[in-house]
Amino acid sequence: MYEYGWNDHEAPKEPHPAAPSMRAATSGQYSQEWWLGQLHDLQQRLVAVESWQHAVDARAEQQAAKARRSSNGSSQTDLTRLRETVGRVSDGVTAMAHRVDHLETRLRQAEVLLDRLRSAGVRDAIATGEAPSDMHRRHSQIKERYQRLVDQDLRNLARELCPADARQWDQIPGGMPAARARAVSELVHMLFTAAQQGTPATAEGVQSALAHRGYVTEGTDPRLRKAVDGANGIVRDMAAVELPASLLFDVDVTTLAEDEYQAYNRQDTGVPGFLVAPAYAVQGEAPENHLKAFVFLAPGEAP
Amino acid sequence: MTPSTRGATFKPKVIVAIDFGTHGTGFAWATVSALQDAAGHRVVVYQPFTQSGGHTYPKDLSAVLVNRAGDPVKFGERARNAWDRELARGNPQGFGYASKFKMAIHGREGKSDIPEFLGSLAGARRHTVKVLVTAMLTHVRRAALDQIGRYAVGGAAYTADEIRWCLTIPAMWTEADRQFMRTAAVSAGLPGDMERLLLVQEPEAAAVYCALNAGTVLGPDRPEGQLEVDTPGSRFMVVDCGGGTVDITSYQIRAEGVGPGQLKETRVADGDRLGSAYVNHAFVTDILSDRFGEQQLKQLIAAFPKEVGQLETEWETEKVRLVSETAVDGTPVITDTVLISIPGKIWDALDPGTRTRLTVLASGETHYIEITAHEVTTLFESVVRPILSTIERQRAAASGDGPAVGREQMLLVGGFARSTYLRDRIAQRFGHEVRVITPMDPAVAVLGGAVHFAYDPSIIWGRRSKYTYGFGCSMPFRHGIDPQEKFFIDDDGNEKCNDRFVVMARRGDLVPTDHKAVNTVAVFPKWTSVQVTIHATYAHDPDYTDEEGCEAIGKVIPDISGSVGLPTSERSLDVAFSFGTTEIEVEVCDRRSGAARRAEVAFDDLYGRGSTDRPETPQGR
Repeated sequence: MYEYGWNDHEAPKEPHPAAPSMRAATSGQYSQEWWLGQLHDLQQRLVAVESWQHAVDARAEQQAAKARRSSNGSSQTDLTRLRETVGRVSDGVTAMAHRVDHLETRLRQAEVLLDRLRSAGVRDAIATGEAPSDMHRRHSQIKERYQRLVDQDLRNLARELCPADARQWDQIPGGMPAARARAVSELVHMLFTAAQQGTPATAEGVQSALAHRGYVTEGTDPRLRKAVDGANGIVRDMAAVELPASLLFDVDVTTLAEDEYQAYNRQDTGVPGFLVAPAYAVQGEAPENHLKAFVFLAPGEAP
Repeated sequence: MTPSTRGATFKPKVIVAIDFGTHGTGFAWATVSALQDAAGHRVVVYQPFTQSGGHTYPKDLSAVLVNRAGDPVKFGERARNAWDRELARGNPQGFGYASKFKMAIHGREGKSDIPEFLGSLAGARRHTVKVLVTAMLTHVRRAALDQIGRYAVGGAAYTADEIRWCLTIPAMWTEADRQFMRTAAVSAGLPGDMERLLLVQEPEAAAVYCALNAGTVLGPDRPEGQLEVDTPGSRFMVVDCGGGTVDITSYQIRAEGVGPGQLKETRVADGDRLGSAYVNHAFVTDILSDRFGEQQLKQLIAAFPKEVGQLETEWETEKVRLVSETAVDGTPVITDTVLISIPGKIWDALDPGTRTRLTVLASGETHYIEITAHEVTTLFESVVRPILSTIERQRAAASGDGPAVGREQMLLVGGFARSTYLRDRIAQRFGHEVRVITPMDPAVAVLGGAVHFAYDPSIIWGRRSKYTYGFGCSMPFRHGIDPQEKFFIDDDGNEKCNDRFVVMARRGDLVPTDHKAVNTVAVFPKWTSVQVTIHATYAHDPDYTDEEGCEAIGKVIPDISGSVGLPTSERSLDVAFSFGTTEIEVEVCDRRSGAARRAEVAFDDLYGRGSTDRPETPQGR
């Protein structure tokens, strides 16, 4: 037996159960006791209905008597007016309900439009680079590789290109540190300017150019190849991000404010001497978020 | 619950996740729209914090500077810089400085970073910690609202009440810790209700990120790959390599999963002091000590703490950018030397002998420390070896939880996971038996994953019913419990109680799509019709269908004509609730005749997924 049953007030409201179909009634499914029970129920309900009808008749008679006692012309008129007023109010309520429905629909439409507008605003800011998104994060990783290349790999390579025991560095302003920084600057140019225009640098080409400029290139092959591969990878990955970025070669370092560059020779003080490696700028990015240009400071001069 | 409130399901228009970390805190956000509903194409916006050299990182330092009155005045890097300045002056204004104070919430003494409470905050107690956490969250909340407000179109900006927030918490936090965090969040102005403020475990968020974003499968070929979550019963491990600790959490994809990615946490390893900060520590104790001499280093630390800090910061930066190579036998090797520039003040303070020695070591250049490849490897190994052992132990422990299905996976996330040497060593050790995956951007895996999680929590939590759903019927009367006015004697002479609520899905329950709940109700022989009324309520355990907050949301009038006259024992109706994506189909079937009738009502899940800029789903028929 099931624990659950139906609520008492959900019992059928008909005065008596619907008669079973002829097929059901003659199927033997309903016993004599069941039919007697049905008749008993019916009799009880008839008694109840007669009682209810009697009560209704009595109330109707009472109302009629009351109406006869108080009946006059003005009350009839008031009643008519009242009915008219109720009718008008009812029409008004219906019209108002329609209007509210209409307004609610329009409100929902307006809300959807507003959402789309605001969402489009953010999408636009992402697409133009104004809002820093996943695309900036990808550039951020490339920036790290670029900085590593300039600050460690090329710096180490420059030490091989400008060995400490070569005396000619003493003859140029800034001495050996400036000569090594200059070598890095030239390497950055060789590695990136042509590659950005679709012609990746080759180790042989760069080595030959360096030798032509008087650098000591013997024994630099492994480091140089690694640097070339690294730079070409950076250029390739920069181009693969939907949001464009560029290396800002075209800059006059003497016009840069102190917070617009990073000193390549961090230990020194002075004024910007020359550009070692350009800033890495992502489209739409706030300038303070660019990877700042590496600048060689001319030592000994106050900023 | 009134009809009007039930209809007002919260549908966020913006998701903001806050990763409140031991060392760094940041936020990221995403708009909710039809275009963003596809997780693979969802774009997340990060707040950049600029660091030295113009690098940006989505996290600022978890640090607060308070004035003499205890009011927070600066946060993050600015707080640290201001504190350094104040400290150099002897802190005459009585400032206080706190960092790593997240660790004071859980208080794993001796196992992880010790919170730093300095100046007027020295000896801070739990109440102060709450004030600091609240202040930090308030600061982040304001920054998030400010950033979101910048992209207003025609003056129409997203408002705070349209945002769902998500806070990340460590896996090992207790319920009391979570409550602490929730209370602090509410004090910080974040909403308190569970639909607008979600807490997600950090490794769970990272797993979501790795399941949705392509990463690299570490191994010889390094193909692209994501966390695979389609094999119920399979295991994976999240190795979160942070600044202070390395936290390892094991999960199993539920066999009874209700959708991709539902996770069952199986084991949490207490985060050990193996984070990248300890590589930095070794840099100071081993390298600086060797180069400057122990005594001179002590003097330098005392005289130039800021400059020694710069040396550490520079090493910190170079450390994760180092690229390791693979030897012929597959062993990762570091071949590059690392150059660290020495600040002028330190260089000038060094004795002449040290300066000469350093210049020779740095190929004739002054102001540099050159760290050889061998030394770099040794520094890394001081932490990498214990990390490998910890992972090994965790794997062994997880294998005791029963057989796994499919190939085991391991996710490497966190800022330290950017180190190729660490990745390659883990891949070398475990790659032959575990699928080791690292996302493209492991540093934001937790933060980005938290955004994806809050966008659609069912990714790992499954759908949870927002209401308790059921129908009304009578049940045996419970004397002394049920109200007397509900008492009646049924047609079979049994004592019954009217208006009892039969629960078909409870608020907060997991409700898989296509889940079906069935109950059977007896019908008396004479009854020719009946009405099944469907109810919903916020209450978890409703007793009666007419109690406060309970609402009738639909009805079914079944066809019971085919069983009229049968004894109660042979006459019954099966009431079935089938939970679809957005609606519940209620079917009432006469068992004897097989006649069935249906109705549909709206189904609301707890976190209201999906965008609002799509056509509305009908609310029931």
